[in-house]
Amino acid sequence: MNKPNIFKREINYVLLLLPALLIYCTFFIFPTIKTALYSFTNWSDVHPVDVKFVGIDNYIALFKDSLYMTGIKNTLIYAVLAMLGQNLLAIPLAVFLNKRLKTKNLLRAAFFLPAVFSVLVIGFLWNFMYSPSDFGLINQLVVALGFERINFLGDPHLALYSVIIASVWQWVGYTMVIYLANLQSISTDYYEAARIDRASGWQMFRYITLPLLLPAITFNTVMGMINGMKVFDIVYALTGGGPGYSTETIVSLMIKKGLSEGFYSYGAAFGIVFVILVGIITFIHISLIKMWERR
Amino acid sequence: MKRTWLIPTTALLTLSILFTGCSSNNSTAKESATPNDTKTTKESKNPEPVKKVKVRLSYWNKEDSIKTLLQLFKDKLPDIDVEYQFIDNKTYVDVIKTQLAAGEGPDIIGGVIDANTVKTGYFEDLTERYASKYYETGTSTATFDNKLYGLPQASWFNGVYYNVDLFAKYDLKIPTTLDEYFQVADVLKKNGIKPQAIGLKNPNVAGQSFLGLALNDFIGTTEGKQWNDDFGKGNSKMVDALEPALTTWTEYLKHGVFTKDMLGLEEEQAIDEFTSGKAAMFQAGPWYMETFKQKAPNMKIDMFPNLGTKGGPGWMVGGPGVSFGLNAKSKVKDAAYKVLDLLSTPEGQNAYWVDNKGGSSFLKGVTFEMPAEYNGAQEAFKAGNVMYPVNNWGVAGPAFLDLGKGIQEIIAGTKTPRQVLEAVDKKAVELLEKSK
Repeated sequence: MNKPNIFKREINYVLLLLPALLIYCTFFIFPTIKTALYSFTNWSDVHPVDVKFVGIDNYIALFKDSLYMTGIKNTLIYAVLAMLGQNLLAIPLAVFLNKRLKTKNLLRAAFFLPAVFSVLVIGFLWNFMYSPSDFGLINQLVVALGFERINFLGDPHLALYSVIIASVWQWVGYTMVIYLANLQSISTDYYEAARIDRASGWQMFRYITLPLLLPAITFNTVMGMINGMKVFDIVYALTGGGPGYSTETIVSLMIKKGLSEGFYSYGAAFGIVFVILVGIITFIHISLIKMWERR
Repeated sequence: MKRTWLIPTTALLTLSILFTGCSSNNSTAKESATPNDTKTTKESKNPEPVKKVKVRLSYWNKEDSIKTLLQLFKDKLPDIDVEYQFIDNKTYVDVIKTQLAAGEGPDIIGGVIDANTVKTGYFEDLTERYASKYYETGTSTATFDNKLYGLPQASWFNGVYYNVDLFAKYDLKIPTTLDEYFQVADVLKKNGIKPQAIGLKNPNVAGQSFLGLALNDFIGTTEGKQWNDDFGKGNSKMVDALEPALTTWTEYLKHGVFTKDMLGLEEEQAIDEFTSGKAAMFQAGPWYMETFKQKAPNMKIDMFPNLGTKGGPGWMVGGPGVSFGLNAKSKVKDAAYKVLDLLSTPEGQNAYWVDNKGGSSFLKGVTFEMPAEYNGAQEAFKAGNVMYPVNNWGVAGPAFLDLGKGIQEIIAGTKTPRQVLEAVDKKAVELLEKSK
């Protein structure tokens, strides 16, 4: 193929990619660069125009503040546990609902339903379920069984885990649907051959289902981790970051500092740290999954 | 050949769709038409139905708390459609500030008027048109550099509501000191009644509970008022002044009136406990009276002021109500002024008060009768003991949220009063530094 022909072919691909590239640049690259630039300034609600360069002051202040370290720690705990919880429950659920059950469609819909609702609605619902008052659904049950009330959202040592449970409950059905789609693409021939070789149910799951589910596992765990790192809405709806600062996350602190208190440049610095953190974690995560795939 | 043309055409088409989405919205422009535009429409050769000018008004209380006022706008301003946008208190400031930073936002804005937002030019100067109509006691919180940026509505206050029948049943007297309060609480607890319901999950509620006591024991004194002003200017520390009061406040925890499980309780859930008779007291203000009446129509309610250790008439936490400001970037200023004009009449003030009974108007010549539910708090009102210290904190005002969160940490047992107040001081310094 001569050079003009190659150019003609390539320009077509470039033109097709251009709209997506423009959207990507407009809504991610450009704001990220601008955020990075602002993170080195004193931009705030008091200095919206006369912005001055302050070097890495915002980054130094960020790493000196224990509150932001709490936010990063809470976010990591949330992301890892929510991702693990969703996937560890969704895989057996998907395998179970992939069987020939009469109620399978009804059950699939029932498990998927919470994902349809807004996170704020789910937060409102779980607020009442977790309530320590006499009207709290779970505590009514706990007391009826003769136990002490559990302060799900008011105990700083328990509140984050209560939020994670509510989140896993909401998203396990969604994760399950992706596993179901993957499961349905696995040829039944493998299982028939395994049965002829007298493989047990566990062996079939371990050596056929699980390895062939890897594409869905990769997608669900990576997306679960990224979404977990971005968590804000469910925390906001259930605890508002409290009691005290015990459930504050990276994004909730970014909003508090960057918007509510008007420290825009500080919020921008935290945003950049956040992007880098998500990038590193996702890179490690994908590398680990690839290692598993190679094995 | 066909394929060669197809790809660029598809790409161009996609791009054009993309940019159509980014173009200015003509329909919005139509909605934001000024009254003059409406007149032009009327005079045109093909008369169309008169288009109302839409004026957006935002506030953090639910529409129920302003419904009579909205009805008045509808009746008296037929050419204006006042669209009420309720934004929850928890996110109100964030949402409005984000919209204002983007050069947008509602036309009439409740609250958010402070030294920073005024300095940034978000609000229209209302001095000439309205300043003389209102008392300075009300306009002081929305006045910066002698210019008025917001119209104060009926004052707000909070005290301690109590269930009159429960107090009568256990022969309890209205407490006038904190010690008497704890004696009442002990009797109630012995009889299986929760002394006071409180939604401590909300840091603002936790903070206001402390302010009630702090006003009695320190901030309400001459020395305390001076300290409060100095704190807003960065000339005094909270830890030195308020540690004794905050330590006293922890008596609520020692007496088992406030407990750790209340950190998981929303205000709405606390209201349910109060209106169902499971709890005998509830600290709040007139904005919940309608809710009480809806949930427990037969419950007899009265209010006593927030208490301190020394006795006296007690203090109400409160001050000028929400101040409505005009967005400097509003495209319908003429119409918005008409709305504010109506609000600044006795009729407008009355319409606001009907759904917020209890407070008093700051519009000159307008007085309201205090409903019977607040009889028990009259002594505090007569003594002029109504104050919201945060109003004097200026740009350090957001540190109040840190105080509320710190109090949650005290309840949870993770911080001491001193540590909390030191953290609030640190935040105040940070906020004051930024505003320089």
